[in-house]
Amino acid sequence: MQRLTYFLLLLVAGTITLSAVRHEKSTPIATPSQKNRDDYKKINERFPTADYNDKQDLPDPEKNAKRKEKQNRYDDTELVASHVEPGVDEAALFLEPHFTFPALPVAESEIVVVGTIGTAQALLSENKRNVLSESPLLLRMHLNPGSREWRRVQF
Amino acid sequence: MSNPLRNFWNATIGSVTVEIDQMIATQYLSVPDAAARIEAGQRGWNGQDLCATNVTFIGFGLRAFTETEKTSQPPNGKVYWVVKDPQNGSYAGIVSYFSNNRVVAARAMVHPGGTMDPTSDPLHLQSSRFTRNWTLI
Repeated sequence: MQRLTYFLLLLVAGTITLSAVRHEKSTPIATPSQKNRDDYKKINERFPTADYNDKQDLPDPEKNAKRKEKQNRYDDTELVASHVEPGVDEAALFLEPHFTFPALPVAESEIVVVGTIGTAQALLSENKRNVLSESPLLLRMHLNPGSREWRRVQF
Repeated sequence: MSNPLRNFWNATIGSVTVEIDQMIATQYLSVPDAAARIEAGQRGWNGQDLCATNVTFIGFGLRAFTETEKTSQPPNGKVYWVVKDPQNGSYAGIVSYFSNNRVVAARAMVHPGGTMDPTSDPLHLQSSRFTRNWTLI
């Protein structure tokens, strides 16, 4: 009888320990101190971030309507998950084949427009399933008379 | 930003259960063994002396997925392979979910209208390549 009691106690203790270990493994959580690490900071500096719970409304009704119209245009893609597990702080999409730009045919072009992106801001689409960014764009138009001399017009 | 450490699975996660959309078995007429090819592509990285040796891909069962599951994060420790347009003109895509710079779950999407050339074995290739991205730098 005593042996059975010890066996049952051991079984209960073992089950509790195993359960605790499995739980710890299945829900890794990033602590605030980990999120203050340099790699997190660098990512946040380089990539604009949209807050999923932010209503993203602008105080100016006219500007707000324009923004909503833009957000509506991006409702056709589902990049943002509606639910993530606790502790998950990032998701990344990798496509096959890899997305690449073809080489620019500069030598064959009469005009080349070069855009420089300013400070970017991230926004969610109206249905919150896609993410987009908007930024001021500085445009420089280069007239290409040949390959030797370029003239520039800046807007 | 290139941060190769982010390609690793969380080493403490252990076995990762892979679940495959049952549509994959019949979606691509020219590749009736599509699910087996996906499985072979991922299993090929198990047990190798690589960076995440204790992360093992297991399961590979077929089942139906809801539309919500096809667009949400799988539970931590799981990989879903679903028939869904990854968009952006691609035939396949994978979303890796990170916690503290380590992968904890993933959802792979295969275009429903894709025509597969069985001789080039694209499903095996992409599942192998996705897995390599996780296990190697």
